[in-house]
Amino acid sequence: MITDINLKKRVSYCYQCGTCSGCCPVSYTQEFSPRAIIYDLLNNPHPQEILKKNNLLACLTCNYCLSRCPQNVDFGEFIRAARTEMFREGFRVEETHDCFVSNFSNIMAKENVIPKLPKDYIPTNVQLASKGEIAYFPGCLAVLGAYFDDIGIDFTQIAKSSILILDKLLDKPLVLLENAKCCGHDVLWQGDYETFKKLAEYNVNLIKKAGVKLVITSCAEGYRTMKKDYKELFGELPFEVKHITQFLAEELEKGNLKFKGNISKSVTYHDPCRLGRHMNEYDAPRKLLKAMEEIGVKFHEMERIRESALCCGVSAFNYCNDFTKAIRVDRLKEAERTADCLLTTCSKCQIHFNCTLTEKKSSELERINVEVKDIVTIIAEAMGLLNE
Amino acid sequence: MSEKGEFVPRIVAFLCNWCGYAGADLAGVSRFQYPATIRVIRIMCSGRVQPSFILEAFKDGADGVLVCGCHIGDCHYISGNEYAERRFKKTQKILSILGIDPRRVRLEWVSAAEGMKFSQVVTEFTEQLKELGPFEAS
Repeated sequence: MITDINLKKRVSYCYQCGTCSGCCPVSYTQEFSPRAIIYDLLNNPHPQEILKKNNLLACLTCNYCLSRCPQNVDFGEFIRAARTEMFREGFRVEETHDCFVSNFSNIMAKENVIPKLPKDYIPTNVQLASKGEIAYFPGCLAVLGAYFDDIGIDFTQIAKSSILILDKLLDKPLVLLENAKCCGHDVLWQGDYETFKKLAEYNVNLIKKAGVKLVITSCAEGYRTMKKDYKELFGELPFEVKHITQFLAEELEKGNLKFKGNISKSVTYHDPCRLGRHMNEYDAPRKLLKAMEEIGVKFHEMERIRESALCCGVSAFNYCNDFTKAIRVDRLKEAERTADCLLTTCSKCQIHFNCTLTEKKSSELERINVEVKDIVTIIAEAMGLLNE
Repeated sequence: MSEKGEFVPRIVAFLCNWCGYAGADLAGVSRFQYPATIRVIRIMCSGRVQPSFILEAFKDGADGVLVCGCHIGDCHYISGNEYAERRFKKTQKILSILGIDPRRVRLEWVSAAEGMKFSQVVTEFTEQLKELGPFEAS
Protein backbone atom coordinates (compact mmCIF):
# COMPACT_ATOMS: atom_id res chain seq x y z
CA MET A 1 0.00 0.00 0.00
CA ILE A 2 1.22 3.42 -0.91
CA THR A 3 -0.21 4.75 2.34
CA ASP A 4 2.60 2.87 4.04
CA ILE A 5 3.80 5.06 6.89
CA ASN A 6 7.43 4.74 5.87
CA LEU A 7 6.72 6.02 2.44
CA LYS A 8 4.86 9.00 3.79
CA LYS A 9 7.37 9.69 6.50
CA ARG A 10 10.07 10.38 3.96
CA VAL A 11 8.11 13.25 2.51
CA SER A 12 6.03 14.49 5.43
CA TYR A 13 8.63 17.10 6.39
CA CYS A 14 8.01 18.97 3.15
CA TYR A 15 6.76 22.54 3.74
CA GLN A 16 5.97 23.26 0.10
CA CYS A 17 8.62 25.86 -0.62
CA GLY A 18 8.95 24.65 -4.19
CA THR A 19 12.75 24.72 -4.33
CA CYS A 20 12.72 21.17 -5.70
CA SER A 21 10.45 22.04 -8.60
CA GLY A 22 12.51 25.14 -9.30
CA CYS A 23 15.79 23.29 -9.63
CA CYS A 24 14.59 19.97 -11.07
CA PRO A 25 16.20 19.31 -14.48
CA VAL A 26 13.09 17.46 -15.64
CA SER A 27 10.87 20.46 -14.95
CA TYR A 28 12.92 22.56 -17.41
CA THR A 29 11.62 20.54 -20.30
CA GLN A 30 8.30 19.07 -19.25
CA GLU A 31 5.47 19.39 -16.79
CA PHE A 32 6.79 17.79 -13.64
CA SER A 33 6.81 19.05 -10.08
CA PRO A 34 8.13 17.13 -7.08
CA ARG A 35 6.41 19.61 -4.78
CA ALA A 36 3.01 19.02 -6.36
CA ILE A 37 3.45 15.25 -6.17
CA ILE A 38 4.22 15.48 -2.46
CA TYR A 39 1.30 17.88 -1.88
CA ASP A 40 -1.09 15.49 -3.61
CA LEU A 41 0.22 12.52 -1.72
CA LEU A 42 -0.17 14.17 1.66
CA ASN A 43 -3.57 15.70 1.01
CA ASN A 44 -5.39 13.33 -1.30
CA PRO A 45 -7.65 10.89 0.54
CA HIS A 46 -6.96 8.29 -2.19
CA PRO A 47 -3.18 8.33 -2.59
CA GLN A 48 -3.36 5.31 -4.89
CA GLU A 49 -4.75 7.52 -7.62
CA ILE A 50 -1.82 9.90 -7.47
CA LEU A 51 0.49 7.23 -8.74
CA LYS A 52 -1.59 7.00 -11.85
CA LYS A 53 -2.12 10.73 -12.23
CA ASN A 54 1.32 12.07 -11.58
CA ASN A 55 4.05 10.93 -13.80
CA LEU A 56 6.40 9.38 -11.30
CA LEU A 57 8.24 7.81 -14.20
CA ALA A 58 9.69 11.11 -15.30
CA CYS A 59 11.83 11.50 -12.17
CA LEU A 60 15.51 10.91 -12.86
CA THR A 61 16.18 10.18 -9.18
CA CYS A 62 19.25 12.37 -9.61
CA ASN A 63 18.86 13.82 -6.08
CA TYR A 64 19.32 17.40 -7.29
CA CYS A 65 16.25 18.34 -5.24
CA LEU A 66 17.69 16.65 -2.16
CA SER A 67 20.88 18.69 -2.42
CA ARG A 68 18.79 21.89 -2.37
CA CYS A 69 15.94 20.88 -0.05
CA PRO A 70 15.92 22.85 3.23
CA GLN A 71 13.99 20.02 4.92
CA ASN A 72 16.16 17.20 3.56
CA VAL A 73 13.28 15.38 1.91
CA ASP A 74 14.73 12.45 0.01
CA PHE A 75 12.48 12.57 -3.03
CA GLY A 76 14.59 10.04 -4.96
CA GLU A 77 14.17 7.40 -2.27
CA PHE A 78 10.48 8.16 -2.15
CA ILE A 79 10.20 7.63 -5.90
CA ARG A 80 12.02 4.34 -5.58
CA ALA A 81 9.73 3.17 -2.81
CA ALA A 82 6.69 4.30 -4.78
CA ARG A 83 7.87 2.48 -7.92
CA THR A 84 8.38 -0.70 -5.89
CA GLU A 85 4.79 -0.43 -4.65
CA MET A 86 3.58 0.24 -8.17
CA PHE A 87 5.52 -2.72 -9.55
CA ARG A 88 3.80 -5.07 -7.12
CA GLU A 89 0.48 -3.86 -8.45
CA GLY A 90 1.48 -4.66 -11.99
CA PHE A 91 2.63 -1.25 -13.12
CA ARG A 92 5.76 -1.04 -15.29
CA VAL A 93 8.06 1.86 -16.12
CA GLU A 94 8.51 3.03 -19.69
CA GLU A 95 11.73 1.30 -20.52
CA THR A 96 13.65 1.96 -23.71
CA HIS A 97 15.36 -0.59 -26.00
CA ASP A 98 12.31 -2.88 -25.78
CA CYS A 99 12.95 -3.56 -22.09
CA PHE A 100 16.40 -4.97 -22.79
CA VAL A 101 17.86 -4.16 -19.39
CA SER A 102 15.04 -5.62 -17.31
CA ASN A 103 14.98 -8.71 -19.54
CA PHE A 104 18.65 -9.49 -19.25
CA SER A 105 18.61 -8.74 -15.51
CA ASN A 106 15.70 -11.13 -15.09
CA ILE A 107 17.53 -13.86 -17.00
CA MET A 108 20.69 -13.22 -15.01
CA ALA A 109 18.68 -13.58 -11.80
CA LYS A 110 17.83 -17.18 -12.72
CA GLU A 111 19.83 -19.65 -10.67
CA ASN A 112 21.07 -21.72 -13.60
CA VAL A 113 22.42 -18.73 -15.52
CA ILE A 114 26.04 -17.94 -14.68
CA PRO A 115 27.48 -15.15 -16.81
CA LYS A 116 31.14 -15.04 -17.75
CA LEU A 117 33.27 -12.09 -18.74
CA PRO A 118 34.50 -12.65 -22.34
CA LYS A 119 38.22 -12.96 -23.00
CA ASP A 120 38.53 -9.67 -24.86
CA TYR A 121 37.66 -7.85 -21.62
CA ILE A 122 40.65 -9.30 -19.82
CA PRO A 123 44.19 -8.12 -20.64
CA THR A 124 46.48 -11.00 -21.55
CA ASN A 125 49.64 -9.90 -19.72
CA VAL A 126 48.10 -9.85 -16.24
CA GLN A 127 48.10 -12.54 -13.61
CA LEU A 128 44.74 -12.91 -11.93
CA ALA A 129 43.71 -14.93 -8.92
CA SER A 130 40.43 -16.56 -7.94
CA LYS A 131 40.87 -15.87 -4.22
CA GLY A 132 42.42 -12.91 -2.48
CA GLU A 133 41.76 -9.67 -0.67
CA ILE A 134 41.10 -7.13 -3.40
CA ALA A 135 38.70 -7.76 -6.27
CA TYR A 136 37.47 -5.97 -9.35
CA PHE A 137 33.74 -6.15 -10.05
CA PRO A 138 32.88 -5.73 -13.74
CA GLY A 139 29.11 -6.26 -13.30
CA CYS A 140 27.09 -6.10 -16.49
CA LEU A 141 29.76 -4.27 -18.49
CA ALA A 142 30.14 -7.05 -21.07
CA VAL A 143 26.40 -7.37 -21.72
CA LEU A 144 26.07 -3.62 -22.21
CA GLY A 145 29.16 -3.74 -24.40
CA ALA A 146 27.64 -6.42 -26.62
CA TYR A 147 24.35 -4.58 -26.95
CA PHE A 148 25.64 -1.02 -27.39
CA ASP A 149 28.32 -1.91 -29.90
CA ASP A 150 27.30 0.68 -32.47
CA ILE A 151 27.53 3.97 -30.59
CA GLY A 152 31.28 4.30 -30.36
CA ILE A 153 32.11 3.21 -26.83
CA ASP A 154 34.80 0.62 -26.29
CA PHE A 155 33.61 -1.20 -23.19
CA THR A 156 36.49 -3.67 -23.35
CA GLN A 157 38.81 -0.72 -22.79
CA ILE A 158 37.06 0.22 -19.51
CA ALA A 159 37.48 -3.26 -18.03
CA LYS A 160 41.00 -3.65 -19.40
CA SER A 161 42.17 -0.26 -18.12
CA SER A 162 40.73 -0.90 -14.65
CA ILE A 163 42.37 -4.32 -14.42
CA LEU A 164 45.73 -3.02 -15.69
CA ILE A 165 45.77 -0.08 -13.28
CA LEU A 166 44.85 -2.20 -10.28
CA ASP A 167 47.34 -4.88 -11.25
CA LYS A 168 50.10 -2.28 -11.44
CA LEU A 169 49.32 -0.86 -8.01
CA LEU A 170 48.74 -4.07 -6.06
CA ASP A 171 51.56 -6.31 -4.93
CA LYS A 172 49.32 -9.40 -4.88
CA PRO A 173 47.36 -10.69 -7.90
CA LEU A 174 43.98 -9.05 -8.37
CA VAL A 175 40.81 -11.12 -8.05
CA LEU A 176 38.57 -10.74 -11.06
CA LEU A 177 34.93 -11.52 -10.30
CA GLU A 178 34.35 -12.72 -13.85
CA ASN A 179 31.18 -14.63 -12.98
CA ALA A 180 29.59 -11.61 -11.31
CA LYS A 181 26.04 -10.76 -12.25
CA CYS A 182 24.63 -7.29 -12.76
CA CYS A 183 24.53 -5.39 -9.46
CA GLY A 184 20.77 -4.92 -9.92
CA HIS A 185 20.76 -1.12 -9.94
CA ASP A 186 18.44 -0.73 -12.89
CA VAL A 187 15.83 -3.25 -11.83
CA LEU A 188 15.87 -1.75 -8.35
CA TRP A 189 15.09 1.73 -9.64
CA GLN A 190 12.48 0.33 -11.98
CA GLY A 191 10.72 -1.08 -8.94
CA ASP A 192 11.53 -4.79 -9.39
CA TYR A 193 12.75 -5.48 -5.87
CA GLU A 194 12.50 -9.29 -6.09
CA THR A 195 14.89 -9.54 -9.04
CA PHE A 196 17.25 -7.10 -7.36
CA LYS A 197 17.27 -9.30 -4.27
CA LYS A 198 18.19 -12.41 -6.25
CA LEU A 199 21.05 -10.63 -8.03
CA ALA A 200 22.31 -9.14 -4.78
CA GLU A 201 22.27 -12.50 -2.99
CA TYR A 202 24.25 -14.13 -5.77
CA ASN A 203 26.84 -11.37 -5.90
CA VAL A 204 27.33 -11.21 -2.14
CA ASN A 205 27.79 -14.99 -1.99
CA LEU A 206 30.26 -14.85 -4.86
CA ILE A 207 32.30 -12.16 -3.13
CA LYS A 208 32.17 -13.97 0.22
CA LYS A 209 33.31 -17.23 -1.42
CA ALA A 210 36.33 -15.51 -2.95
CA GLY A 211 37.28 -14.24 0.51
CA VAL A 212 37.48 -10.68 -0.72
CA LYS A 213 37.88 -7.79 1.74
CA LEU A 214 37.73 -4.92 -0.72
CA VAL A 215 35.61 -4.78 -3.88
CA ILE A 216 36.54 -2.17 -6.46
CA THR A 217 34.12 -1.15 -9.16
CA SER A 218 34.60 1.17 -12.11
CA CYS A 219 30.90 1.95 -12.34
CA ALA A 220 29.24 4.65 -10.25
CA GLU A 221 25.93 2.81 -10.17
CA GLY A 222 27.53 -0.44 -9.08
CA TYR A 223 29.34 1.42 -6.33
CA ARG A 224 26.20 3.01 -4.97
CA THR A 225 24.17 -0.20 -5.16
CA MET A 226 26.75 -2.41 -3.48
CA LYS A 227 27.69 0.13 -0.84
CA LYS A 228 24.23 1.41 0.08
CA ASP A 229 21.51 -0.92 -1.15
CA TYR A 230 23.24 -4.22 -0.42
CA LYS A 231 23.89 -2.95 3.08
CA GLU A 232 20.24 -2.03 3.43
CA LEU A 233 19.28 -5.54 2.35
CA PHE A 234 21.79 -7.67 4.26
CA GLY A 235 22.99 -5.44 7.10
CA GLU A 236 26.75 -5.10 7.59
CA LEU A 237 28.71 -6.81 4.83
CA PRO A 238 32.01 -8.61 5.40
CA PHE A 239 33.68 -6.58 2.65
CA GLU A 240 34.22 -2.96 1.77
CA VAL A 241 33.24 -1.37 -1.54
CA LYS A 242 35.20 1.38 -3.23
CA HIS A 243 34.91 3.19 -6.49
CA ILE A 244 38.10 2.95 -8.52
CA THR A 245 38.66 6.73 -8.41
CA GLN A 246 38.54 6.66 -4.60
CA PHE A 247 41.06 3.85 -4.47
CA LEU A 248 43.34 5.64 -6.94
CA ALA A 249 43.07 8.98 -5.11
CA GLU A 250 44.24 7.23 -1.94
CA GLU A 251 47.14 5.64 -3.78
CA LEU A 252 47.97 9.04 -5.25
CA GLU A 253 48.24 10.55 -1.78
CA LYS A 254 50.48 7.68 -0.72
CA GLY A 255 52.66 8.50 -3.71
CA ASN A 256 52.23 5.15 -5.46
CA LEU A 257 50.52 6.51 -8.55
CA LYS A 258 52.97 7.82 -11.14
CA PHE A 259 52.01 9.41 -14.42
CA LYS A 260 54.36 9.52 -17.36
CA GLY A 261 54.41 10.47 -21.01
CA ASN A 262 52.58 13.40 -22.46
CA ILE A 263 48.86 13.73 -23.04
CA SER A 264 47.92 17.15 -24.28
CA LYS A 265 44.18 17.02 -24.07
CA SER A 266 41.69 19.42 -22.61
CA VAL A 267 39.23 17.54 -20.46
CA THR A 268 36.27 18.20 -18.23
CA TYR A 269 34.51 16.04 -15.71
CA HIS A 270 30.83 15.16 -15.47
CA ASP A 271 29.66 14.15 -11.98
CA PRO A 272 27.42 11.08 -12.30
CA CYS A 273 24.52 11.44 -9.87
CA ARG A 274 25.18 8.01 -8.39
CA LEU A 275 28.72 8.89 -7.39
CA GLY A 276 28.25 12.59 -6.70
CA ARG A 277 25.00 13.50 -5.06
CA HIS A 278 24.10 9.94 -3.98
CA MET A 279 27.48 9.06 -2.43
CA ASN A 280 29.04 12.49 -1.89
CA GLU A 281 32.19 11.70 -3.80
CA TYR A 282 33.23 14.76 -5.76
CA ASP A 283 36.89 15.13 -4.92
CA ALA A 284 38.52 11.80 -5.81
CA PRO A 285 38.19 12.09 -9.61
CA ARG A 286 39.15 15.77 -9.48
CA LYS A 287 42.29 15.00 -7.48
CA LEU A 288 43.33 12.50 -10.15
CA LEU A 289 42.68 14.92 -12.98
CA LYS A 290 44.58 17.73 -11.21
CA ALA A 291 47.51 15.36 -10.70
CA MET A 292 47.49 14.57 -14.41
CA GLU A 293 47.96 18.24 -15.25
CA GLU A 294 51.71 17.79 -14.85
CA ILE A 295 51.81 15.51 -17.88
CA GLY A 296 49.94 18.01 -20.03
CA VAL A 297 46.27 17.24 -19.39
CA LYS A 298 44.32 20.47 -19.19
CA PHE A 299 41.45 20.11 -16.74
CA HIS A 300 38.65 22.65 -16.94
CA GLU A 301 35.48 22.70 -14.88
CA MET A 302 32.06 23.11 -16.44
CA GLU A 303 29.60 25.70 -15.13
CA ARG A 304 27.35 23.26 -13.28
CA ILE A 305 29.47 20.96 -11.16
CA ARG A 306 29.49 19.02 -7.90
CA GLU A 307 26.10 19.28 -6.12
CA SER A 308 24.72 21.35 -8.98
CA ALA A 309 25.86 19.03 -11.78
CA LEU A 310 23.26 18.34 -14.44
CA CYS A 311 22.15 14.73 -14.76
CA CYS A 312 22.70 12.90 -18.06
CA GLY A 313 18.95 12.68 -18.35
CA VAL A 314 18.09 8.97 -18.12
CA SER A 315 18.27 6.65 -15.17
CA ALA A 316 17.62 2.91 -15.24
CA PHE A 317 16.86 3.18 -18.99
CA ASN A 318 13.52 4.64 -18.06
CA TYR A 319 11.68 7.37 -19.89
CA CYS A 320 14.10 8.28 -22.68
CA ASN A 321 12.35 10.74 -24.97
CA ASP A 322 12.74 14.14 -26.61
CA PHE A 323 12.33 15.94 -23.30
CA THR A 324 15.14 14.10 -21.57
CA LYS A 325 17.23 14.30 -24.74
CA ALA A 326 17.11 18.07 -24.35
CA ILE A 327 18.84 17.66 -20.97
CA ARG A 328 21.61 15.60 -22.57
CA VAL A 329 22.10 18.05 -25.41
CA ASP A 330 22.28 20.86 -22.85
CA ARG A 331 24.97 19.03 -20.89
CA LEU A 332 26.95 18.06 -23.99
CA LYS A 333 26.93 21.63 -25.27
CA GLU A 334 28.17 22.81 -21.91
CA ALA A 335 31.01 20.29 -22.19
CA GLU A 336 31.73 21.38 -25.76
CA ARG A 337 32.14 24.98 -24.57
CA THR A 338 34.55 23.84 -21.84
CA ALA A 339 36.81 21.16 -23.31
CA ASP A 340 37.39 18.59 -26.07
CA CYS A 341 36.78 15.54 -23.96
CA LEU A 342 34.08 14.84 -21.39
CA LEU A 343 35.17 12.35 -18.75
CA THR A 344 32.84 10.48 -16.48
CA THR A 345 32.91 7.41 -14.27
CA CYS A 346 29.51 5.94 -15.00
CA SER A 347 29.12 3.58 -17.95
CA LYS A 348 25.42 4.41 -18.26
CA CYS A 349 26.14 8.15 -18.53
CA GLN A 350 28.52 7.28 -21.38
CA ILE A 351 25.88 5.20 -23.13
CA HIS A 352 23.30 7.97 -22.94
CA PHE A 353 25.70 10.72 -24.01
CA ASN A 354 27.18 8.70 -26.86
CA CYS A 355 23.75 7.67 -28.04
CA THR A 356 22.80 11.34 -28.35
CA LEU A 357 26.10 12.20 -30.04
CA THR A 358 25.66 9.41 -32.59
CA GLU A 359 22.19 10.61 -33.37
CA LYS A 360 23.32 14.20 -33.90
CA LYS A 361 26.38 13.20 -35.92
CA SER A 362 24.64 13.12 -39.27
CA SER A 363 23.49 16.73 -39.15
CA GLU A 364 25.94 19.57 -39.76
CA LEU A 365 23.93 22.00 -37.62
CA GLU A 366 23.24 19.77 -34.68
CA ARG A 367 26.62 18.12 -34.41
CA ILE A 368 28.30 18.43 -31.00
CA ASN A 369 32.07 18.20 -31.08
CA VAL A 370 32.94 16.52 -27.85
CA GLU A 371 34.27 13.11 -27.01
CA VAL A 372 32.87 11.14 -24.09
CA LYS A 373 35.25 8.81 -22.30
CA ASP A 374 35.64 6.89 -19.10
CA ILE A 375 38.09 8.38 -16.64
CA VAL A 376 39.89 5.03 -16.14
CA THR A 377 40.90 4.86 -19.80
CA ILE A 378 42.71 8.21 -19.61
CA ILE A 379 44.35 7.23 -16.30
CA ALA A 380 45.59 3.97 -17.83
CA GLU A 381 46.91 5.97 -20.78
CA ALA A 382 48.64 8.44 -18.44
CA MET A 383 50.25 5.55 -16.57
CA GLY A 384 51.54 4.21 -19.87
CA LEU A 385 49.69 0.92 -19.54
CA LEU A 386 47.66 0.82 -22.71
CA ASN A 387 50.59 1.07 -25.12
CA GLU A 388 52.62 -1.71 -23.63
CA MET B 1 6.93 -32.98 -21.00
CA SER B 2 5.04 -35.60 -22.98
CA GLU B 3 3.05 -38.49 -21.52
CA LYS B 4 6.07 -40.76 -21.50
CA GLY B 5 8.04 -38.23 -19.47
CA GLU B 6 10.19 -37.40 -22.45
CA PHE B 7 11.38 -33.81 -22.73
CA VAL B 8 9.50 -31.79 -25.34
CA PRO B 9 11.13 -28.42 -25.95
CA ARG B 10 9.15 -25.22 -26.06
CA ILE B 11 10.15 -23.10 -29.03
CA VAL B 12 9.06 -19.53 -29.62
CA ALA B 13 9.07 -18.90 -33.37
CA PHE B 14 9.11 -15.37 -34.75
CA LEU B 15 7.90 -15.70 -38.35
CA CYS B 16 7.86 -12.83 -40.80
CA ASN B 17 4.54 -12.15 -42.42
CA TRP B 18 5.75 -12.45 -46.01
CA CYS B 19 8.02 -15.48 -46.07
CA GLY B 20 8.38 -17.40 -42.79
CA TYR B 21 4.70 -17.35 -41.92
CA ALA B 22 3.63 -18.15 -45.47
CA GLY B 23 6.19 -20.97 -45.51
CA ALA B 24 4.73 -22.38 -42.30
CA ASP B 25 1.29 -22.05 -43.83
CA LEU B 26 2.41 -23.95 -46.90
CA ALA B 27 3.90 -26.66 -44.70
CA GLY B 28 0.49 -27.00 -43.07
CA VAL B 29 -1.48 -27.01 -46.33
CA SER B 30 0.92 -29.52 -47.90
CA ARG B 31 0.67 -31.71 -44.78
CA PHE B 32 4.40 -31.84 -44.13
CA GLN B 33 4.90 -33.34 -40.70
CA TYR B 34 6.90 -31.59 -38.01
CA PRO B 35 6.86 -31.75 -34.19
CA ALA B 36 4.30 -29.54 -32.46
CA THR B 37 6.94 -27.72 -30.45
CA ILE B 38 6.67 -24.23 -31.85
CA ARG B 39 4.59 -21.31 -30.62
CA VAL B 40 4.29 -18.92 -33.54
CA ILE B 41 4.43 -15.15 -33.21
CA ARG B 42 3.77 -13.43 -36.51
CA ILE B 43 5.71 -10.26 -37.12
CA MET B 44 5.72 -8.01 -40.15
CA CYS B 45 9.47 -8.33 -40.73
CA SER B 46 12.26 -10.35 -39.16
CA GLY B 47 14.07 -7.03 -38.74
CA ARG B 48 11.69 -6.24 -35.89
CA VAL B 49 13.17 -8.97 -33.70
CA GLN B 50 15.24 -7.16 -31.11
CA PRO B 51 17.66 -9.00 -28.80
CA SER B 52 15.22 -8.13 -26.06
CA PHE B 53 12.41 -10.20 -27.63
CA ILE B 54 14.56 -13.29 -27.61
CA LEU B 55 15.69 -12.65 -24.03
CA GLU B 56 12.08 -12.18 -22.97
CA ALA B 57 11.16 -15.54 -24.48
CA PHE B 58 13.88 -17.21 -22.41
CA LYS B 59 12.82 -15.27 -19.35
CA ASP B 60 9.30 -16.59 -19.68
CA GLY B 61 10.34 -20.22 -20.00
CA ALA B 62 11.17 -20.94 -23.64
CA ASP B 63 13.82 -23.58 -24.37
CA GLY B 64 14.70 -22.20 -27.77
CA VAL B 65 13.88 -19.34 -30.13
CA LEU B 66 13.51 -19.61 -33.89
CA VAL B 67 13.48 -16.57 -36.18
CA CYS B 68 12.42 -16.99 -39.80
CA GLY B 69 12.62 -14.31 -42.47
CA CYS B 70 12.89 -13.87 -46.22
CA HIS B 71 16.07 -14.81 -48.06
CA ILE B 72 18.66 -12.01 -48.28
CA GLY B 73 17.66 -9.80 -51.20
CA ASP B 74 14.04 -10.93 -51.08
CA CYS B 75 12.91 -8.89 -48.07
CA HIS B 76 9.52 -7.29 -48.54
CA TYR B 77 10.97 -4.16 -46.96
CA ILE B 78 14.20 -4.36 -49.00
CA SER B 79 16.74 -4.67 -46.16
CA GLY B 80 14.85 -5.73 -43.02
CA ASN B 81 16.44 -9.17 -42.93
CA GLU B 82 19.92 -7.63 -43.02
CA TYR B 83 19.03 -5.84 -39.79
CA ALA B 84 17.69 -9.14 -38.48
CA GLU B 85 20.99 -10.85 -39.20
CA ARG B 86 22.99 -8.12 -37.45
CA ARG B 87 20.72 -8.15 -34.41
CA PHE B 88 20.77 -11.92 -34.32
CA LYS B 89 24.56 -11.97 -34.12
CA LYS B 90 24.38 -9.45 -31.29
CA THR B 91 21.86 -11.65 -29.49
CA GLN B 92 24.08 -14.72 -29.81
CA LYS B 93 26.96 -12.75 -28.32
CA ILE B 94 24.83 -11.57 -25.40
CA LEU B 95 23.57 -15.11 -24.79
CA SER B 96 27.07 -16.53 -24.68
CA ILE B 97 28.10 -13.82 -22.18
CA LEU B 98 25.10 -14.78 -20.05
CA GLY B 99 26.26 -18.39 -20.18
CA ILE B 100 23.36 -19.60 -22.34
CA ASP B 101 24.24 -21.91 -25.25
CA PRO B 102 23.92 -19.84 -28.48
CA ARG B 103 22.64 -22.99 -30.22
CA ARG B 104 19.34 -22.37 -28.43
CA VAL B 105 18.57 -19.64 -30.94
CA ARG B 106 18.34 -20.10 -34.68
CA LEU B 107 17.89 -17.77 -37.64
CA GLU B 108 16.64 -19.30 -40.88
CA TRP B 109 15.64 -17.88 -44.22
CA VAL B 110 12.43 -19.62 -45.33
CA SER B 111 10.62 -18.33 -48.39
CA ALA B 112 6.88 -18.63 -48.93
CA ALA B 113 7.48 -21.57 -51.30
CA GLU B 114 9.66 -23.55 -48.89
CA GLY B 115 7.13 -25.42 -46.80
CA MET B 116 9.36 -28.49 -46.85
CA LYS B 117 12.31 -26.50 -45.57
CA PHE B 118 10.21 -25.08 -42.74
CA SER B 119 9.21 -28.52 -41.52
CA GLN B 120 12.83 -29.66 -41.75
CA VAL B 121 14.08 -26.64 -39.79
CA VAL B 122 11.59 -27.21 -36.98
CA THR B 123 12.37 -30.93 -36.84
CA GLU B 124 16.12 -30.35 -36.74
CA PHE B 125 15.86 -27.57 -34.18
CA THR B 126 13.62 -29.68 -31.95
CA GLU B 127 16.14 -32.52 -32.08
CA GLN B 128 18.96 -30.15 -31.19
CA LEU B 129 17.05 -28.71 -28.24
CA LYS B 130 16.26 -32.22 -27.01
CA GLU B 131 20.00 -32.81 -26.93
CA LEU B 132 20.63 -29.57 -25.05
CA GLY B 133 17.86 -30.30 -22.55
CA PRO B 134 15.50 -27.89 -20.84
CA PHE B 135 16.77 -24.33 -20.36
CA GLU B 136 15.69 -23.91 -16.74
CA ALA B 137 17.40 -27.11 -15.60
CA SER B 138 20.62 -26.79 -17.59
